[in-house]
This record gives sequence, structure tokens and C-alpha cells, in this order.
Amino acid sequence: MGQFIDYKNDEHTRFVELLQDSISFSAREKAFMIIDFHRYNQIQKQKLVKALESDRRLIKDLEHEYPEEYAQREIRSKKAWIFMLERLAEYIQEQKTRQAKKFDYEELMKLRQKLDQD
Amino acid sequence: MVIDKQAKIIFDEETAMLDQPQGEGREALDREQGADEAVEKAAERMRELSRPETWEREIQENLEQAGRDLEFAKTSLQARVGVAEATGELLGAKVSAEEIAEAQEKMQQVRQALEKIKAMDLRQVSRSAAEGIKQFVKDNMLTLSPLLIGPLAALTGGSVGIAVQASLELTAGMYALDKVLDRLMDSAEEIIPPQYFVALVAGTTNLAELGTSQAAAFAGDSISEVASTPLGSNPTNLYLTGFALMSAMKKRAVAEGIIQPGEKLGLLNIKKVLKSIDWKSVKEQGGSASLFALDALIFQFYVRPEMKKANFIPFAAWSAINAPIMFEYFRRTTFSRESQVGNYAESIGEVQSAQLQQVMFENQEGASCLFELLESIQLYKGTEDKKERKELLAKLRSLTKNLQTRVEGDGNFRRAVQTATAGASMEDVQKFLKIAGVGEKMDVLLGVDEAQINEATEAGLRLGENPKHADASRAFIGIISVLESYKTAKTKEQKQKAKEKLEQAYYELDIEMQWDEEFAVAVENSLADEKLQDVKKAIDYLKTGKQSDDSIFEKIDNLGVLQIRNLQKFAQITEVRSRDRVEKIQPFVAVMSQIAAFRRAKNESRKKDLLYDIKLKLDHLERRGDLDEDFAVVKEQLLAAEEMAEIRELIKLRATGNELEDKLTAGDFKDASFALSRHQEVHAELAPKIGELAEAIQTLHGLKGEEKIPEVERTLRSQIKDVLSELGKKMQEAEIVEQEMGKILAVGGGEPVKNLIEMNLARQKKIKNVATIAGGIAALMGLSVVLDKGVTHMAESVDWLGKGAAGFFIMSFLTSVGEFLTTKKFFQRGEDRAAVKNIADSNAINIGLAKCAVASSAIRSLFV
Repeated sequence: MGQFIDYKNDEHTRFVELLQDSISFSAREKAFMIIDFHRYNQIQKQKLVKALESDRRLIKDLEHEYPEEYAQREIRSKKAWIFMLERLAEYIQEQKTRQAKKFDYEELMKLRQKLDQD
Repeated sequence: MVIDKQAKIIFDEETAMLDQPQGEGREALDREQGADEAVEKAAERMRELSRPETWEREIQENLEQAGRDLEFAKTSLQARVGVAEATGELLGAKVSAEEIAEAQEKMQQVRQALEKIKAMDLRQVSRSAAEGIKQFVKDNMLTLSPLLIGPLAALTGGSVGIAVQASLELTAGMYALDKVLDRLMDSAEEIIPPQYFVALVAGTTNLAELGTSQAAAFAGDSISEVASTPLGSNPTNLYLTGFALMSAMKKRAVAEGIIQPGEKLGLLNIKKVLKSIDWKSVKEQGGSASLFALDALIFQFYVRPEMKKANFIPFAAWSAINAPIMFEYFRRTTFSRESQVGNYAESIGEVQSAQLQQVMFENQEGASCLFELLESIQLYKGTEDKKERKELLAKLRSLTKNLQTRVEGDGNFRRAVQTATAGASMEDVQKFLKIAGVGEKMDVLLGVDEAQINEATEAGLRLGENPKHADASRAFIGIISVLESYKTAKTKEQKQKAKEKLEQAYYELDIEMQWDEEFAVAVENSLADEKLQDVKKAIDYLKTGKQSDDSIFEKIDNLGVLQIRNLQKFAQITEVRSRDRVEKIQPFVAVMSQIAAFRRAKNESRKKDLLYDIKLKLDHLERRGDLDEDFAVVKEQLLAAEEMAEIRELIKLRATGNELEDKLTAGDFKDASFALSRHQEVHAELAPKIGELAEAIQTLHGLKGEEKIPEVERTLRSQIKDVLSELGKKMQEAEIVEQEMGKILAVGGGEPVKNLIEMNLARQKKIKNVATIAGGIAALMGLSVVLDKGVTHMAESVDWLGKGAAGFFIMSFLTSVGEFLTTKKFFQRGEDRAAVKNIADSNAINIGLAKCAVASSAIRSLFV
């Protein structure tokens, strides 16, 4: 995940924490948010963290009100998080392979150009 | 000794395994236990559901769960909204503020719906639901009764696993059979004459017996035993008739209007139901059924023991005697039309008879042959004396022949009879006339009466007044005079010669009409006269050799030059008008789309813009109405509809600010939106189809004899059928479409299109009915096999079923369950003759099956 998230940055770390604990999003949504996070500007990032914090507060209330339902959803959410991390790792690996191939191709083209020039 | 925990578990498991039977025995036991539990659970659940408290508790629980789920969903949606607002996207896709607002609105709607359900009187709802379950069990008591086989087998020490299988096969089979019969009977009513239908169903429900007896014959069972399966059912079928009548009693009482649905059937009402039964038919058909049952008993107690002793003479005698009886039975009850006359006459009620006499008296004097016939029918119905009935039946036959001749020869009388017997209340009379051959095979060439011949001759002379048509008009007069000689022809040969002359005369007229279109139009104009209706029918018949109302394409072939020309004009007018209408509806559609946008908008400034725009558009509607008279007419027509009330209101409020805004926010514009889209659909999509249809009709009509190319004709035909189907389907979908299309088709020249659409709908209904019958019969075949299997499994599972009176009763009932359900259905529908005929037919078929089984067994013995 380090490819998308800067763990030295407090805001980034907070974002991941909040997202991990949230039961409001599907695994797919969470994955998209992580992948896209680095694209957002500072204001968007702040707003996003704010929205997740507000979600956490609301969920806390529901946890007190309906503990059994919350517990079930929390288990599902944790499983989904692990599943999402696995898929994310696969995705990163795939990206790297693609990138490597792209570089190979570019180098090859450069080499060909050089040969042509010679 | 101390045993550690893990070892104890292993030890216990192993012991338990040792205690269980192994292999197939164990599987069977598991299956039995599982099945036993399943039946018990199902029964327990049914018991629970018949208690209102269960329903109330479960609904309450579900509602609470839904409420909790909704709370979590709300938070989840809010979080998503927060993310979308922060980043402008969700799942990598852009999300607009309007989409977010829409989602929130939907959520709000779900919440409101839930609140409404919560506010309902749950106790009342639960009580009705529990009542519903009780009622379902009561109504389907018989169908659900095989579910008892499981517990029965458990109680008597039989095999529960097989019993459960049997109970499921029988319950599902009986339930499905009940439903299939309903559909089948509804569809068959208009297509198959009842006597054929009953024989067909009886034959189908006996298929299982055919299979079993033939299988026994080819498996090498003793020749004396193979006939037992089908013949065993015959005596049983008799008491099943009584049982079927008893179980049909309640529904019959509802159908007859004796009690209301859900009301209890008391002793007094039972008497009323019994009174409503056509006992004469029941006795008559019951007599035949008893005869065939007796026949089966003779086989069982005399012929079979003799066959066991290798004495086949009694079998040969038995077969030889009952063969003509069966033949005569089917001839009389099913295949001979003449024999059916009496049966159908009996179904004509006194009220129908009186009504017919009254109408005919008003319409046509001298209809004495019909009155005499109706009188004889009532006499025939009223007497029990066999000799008298026989004489009356002979009289009925000769009277129907008289009526037939009269109807054939007198067009006015024929029309009067057709009008008087039209309508659902005269259904029995219609059936009688159909079976009696009156109206059928009616010679349209004979239907032209003296007055019409004179009138047509005068019309021909008038045509000749125009010097251009002098020669051609002679061809027209020629047809009329040959028509007269056809009418007066006495022998078959004379008729044949006259017909040939008629065909030749029509050929000449056709050439003249093709040569000179003006003359063709003049002829058609003359024939359009009401007084010459039968002459037109005769000429149409000569044109195609068929009566024009047989099929869509014959109708098209029979269209005249004038009709085709009018159709062409009609299509052009429709196209122009519809284009114009679409243009005039457009401003209303534009207002509607702005209203929808306004209601979706959440942004205040956007709302203001839209409000201003809506005001402008409403103003424009009014202003255009003042300036453009045609638009004003369309506007008035559109706004007059009930569905457009909200739009009328908006126009009134257009000058105000807040009121208009409030109306736009709070109003319900669904109906108006629906109505406008239907108007648009009619004029933008369906009306152009009429042009397409008219063109195809014209081209098809124009293809003459040798010019016909099969591929072209086929394409045109399928194009016509497709357009007709689409138009008919759309017209049935919405009332607005039907009305608007009705208006379009009412314009001069559109009649053929209207007729063709109606004919196509009737054709499609017929096709659907035929498909249902074919499917239904196939389903009956399948179900009779399933039921037969169910009975076999049941006999295997409950030991004592093979023995004793109770066992015999249950088994014989179940082997004939198909016949039983069919008879019950017929009784419920008030078709008493058909109900008992079904049993008589089934018994007669069983005798045939028995003979086939013996024959198969004999053939096998020749080779094995």
C-alpha cells in the first residue's frame, strides 16, 4: 500500500486507519479510495478525512444502539479489508510487471532508433 | 482410569460409528431420518403459520430488522455522500450533486414506506394472513392429503423415505394437475367441441394405465393378469364420481351464486346445489359408465378365471360383444353430430328459448320452423319416457334440417337468426346451432334473396347509364342473373353447372374492373349499399373462393379497388396529421422535461433558472393557443384529459411566483407525464406504422396470379403480421393508446386496418389457446405418469395398503386420481354431462386398453 499512501504523513495514516475501521464502504470502494488518494489535492484529502471521521462518530452511535448488528458487520468488514489488501497487492504486482514491460519496450525502441541512425 | 478429553471424543465418535449401519443400509436410514424430519418440520411450520401470533411476531421481527438495516444503510449512504462531496467521485467515477440528492431522496422514500408498514394494524394483518393459510389448507385439503403418507408409514412401521417420496410425487402431481386442468379447460372452451375435449382428457389421464399394462404384457406377466390394471379402475371410477361431486360442492355453490366465497355451505345450500345438477345427463352418462364397470367385473370374475385355465373362448366372446358397444358409445357420445343434437338441445334453458322466441317474433314473422324447433326442444327436455324421447329426437333432427334449409335460402332470415343468437347469454343456443349444422357450410351464393337480386339488377342498369360503362355493366348484370339461376337449380348437376357459369361471369367482371378502375370503383360503390350485403358477400366469395372473414390474408385479397385507394389516402392523411400532432405535442413535452429537471435540482440558483424557463414555456403554450387555431384544438383535447389536471393547474398559476413553485415541488406529475409519452408514442411511432402497413397491403393485394413471387409474398405477409401484432399489442397496453389509435382509425379508409388488427388479436388468442392445449395435454401425460409412480411408491411404503377395505379404497382412489380431479373440475364448472362422460369415456378406454394388453401378451408369447 506504500505505493499510494505516505505513512510518514499523519493525515495519510489517519485516512487509512479510519478507512480500515469503517463499516460503511465495500471492499471495492475502499480499494478505489486508496488507489486514488495520492491524486487528490490537500483540500480534498482534508475533506475526505473529515467525512470519514463523521462516519466513525455516526457508527459509534449505532454500535451503542445495536451492538449485535454492529458486531456482525464489523466481522464482515474486517474480512473484506483483508481480502481487499490481498487484491491490492496483486494489483500493485501487476502494475509493476506492466511498468517493467513498458520500460523494456521503450528501451527496445530507443535501441532500434539508435541502430537505425547508425 | 483417567481418560483425556480428546481421546474421549474420538472414542465416543468411534462407538457411535460402530452403532450405525454401514453402506446402503446406513444411507437409507439417514435418508429416512432426514425425510422424516423434513416432513415433520413442514407440518410444524404449517401449524405455526396458521396462528396469528406467529405472523404478528415474525412480521414485527422482520420490521425491526429492516429498521436496523435501514439505520446502517443511512450512515453508509451519508459516508458515501461525504466522500463524493469531498472528491467529486465514487468508485473512480464522477458523481454529480443531483445524483447524490436522488440517492438521498430514494432512501427517504424507503424510510417512509417502512414507517407506513409499521403504522399498520399488525394484529389485523396477522389475523388475515393466518386465516389465509388456514383457508389454503382447507381449499387444498385433498391435494395436501398425501403429505400424511409419511407419518402413516412411520406409524405402521413402513419405509418413511419412500413414503416421503410418494407423498411429494402425489401432492405435487395432484396440485399441478388441478392447475393444468383449469388452464386447459379455459383454453379448450372456444376451440375443441366439449365431447372431443372430454374424450381427449380421459384418454390422456389413462396413459399411465396404457404404459403399465403394456409393460406388464412385454415383461411376460401372465396373459390373464395383464388386463387387470386398466379394468380394475372401472368400478372405482363410479364411486369416485360421487366423491368428485361431493368435493366440488362448495365451488359449484359459489359458481352458481348460491353462496358467497368464504361462506359456509349448509345443508340447505347443499340441497340447492343438488337441485342445480343436470341429473338427466348424469344418469345417462352414469348408465354408460356403469355398463363398462359391469363389463370389467364380468372380465374379472368370469373371463379371467377361464383364461387362467387356458380357455380363451369367454375372452373372445367378451371382446366380440363389447367391441360394437364401445364403437356405438363413442359414435353416439363423441363422433356423431346427429346424436349430439339431443344432448346440446337439452342444455338450452327455458329463459334462452323464450328470449329467442321473443326477439325473433319482433324481427321476423314466419320463423315458424325455429319456433317449432324450440317447442320440441322444451318437450324433449321435459319428458322421461324413452319412446317419446326417441320420437322427439327424430323430430328435432328433421326440424334442424328444415331450419338449415331455411337459413341457407333466406338471407334476411339468416341475418335475423344471427343477430338473435349473438351474445354470451345465447352460448348454449350457438353451440346447438353449430352442432346441428345450421349456419355452418352456409352457401353464401344462396344467401342472396329475391329483393337483393332485383336491387342489384337495378344497380347494374344504373351502372350502364354511363356510356363508358355500358359494356362492362353487362358483366355485372350477368353475374346477378346467373346467381338467380344458381338459386333455382334443383339437382346437384344443375348447381354445379350454374356455379361454373358464375365463376366465368365473375372472371369477365374482374377483367372489366381491372381494365377500367373507374368502373371498379362504381361497382364497389354500388355494393357498399346495406341492401346489397349478401350480393357483396357472394361476389367476394367468387373472387377468392372463400368467405372473406376466414383469415387476414383472405380479407386483404377481398379488398376492393376503392378500399385500397381509400386506404392509401388514409395512410397519407394519417402521416401528415401525425407529424403535425407530434410537432404540437412537443411544447407540452418540453414543459414536462423542465418540470422533471426542476424537481431534481437541489441548487437554488438552478431552480430559479428552471422556474423562469417553465413560466416562459407555459406562457408560450397559452400564447400559441391564441394565435394558432389548430394548436388550440390539440391543446384543448390534451388538457381535457383527467391525467392532465396538474398541467392545467400550472397554466393557471403561471403568473404567480411562490404558488407555482409550491405546485411544482408538491404536485404529482406522473400521470401527465405518462399520458404525454403515450400520445407521443401513438403519433411518432405507431401512426407511421400504419403507412408501412397500408403500403404492404397494397403491394400484396396488387400481386396477381402469375405475377406472384413466393419470397415477396412471404415477406409482405410477415411484415403485415408483425405490424398488426405490434399495433394490437400496444393498443392493449394502455387505454390512452387505444383511444388515440381508435380516433386515427375512425377516419374514412381506416376501417380495413381496424378490422385487420382485431382479426389478428383474435388469431393470436386462438394460437395461444392452441399452444396451451398442446402444452396442457403434454403436461397431463407427464403428470399421469408422476401420479402413477407416486401410487407405486405409496404401496411400497405402507405395508397394509395392499390389504383390507381401507387400503383398497385409498389405492383405487389414487390410481384414478386423474379422472377424479377432471370430473371434479367439470362439476365445479357446472358441466355435469362432461363430468360423468369423462368417467364413462375413461371406463370405455380402459376396456380397449385391456384388450390391447392381452393382444400384446399374445404377440409376445408367439416369439418368446
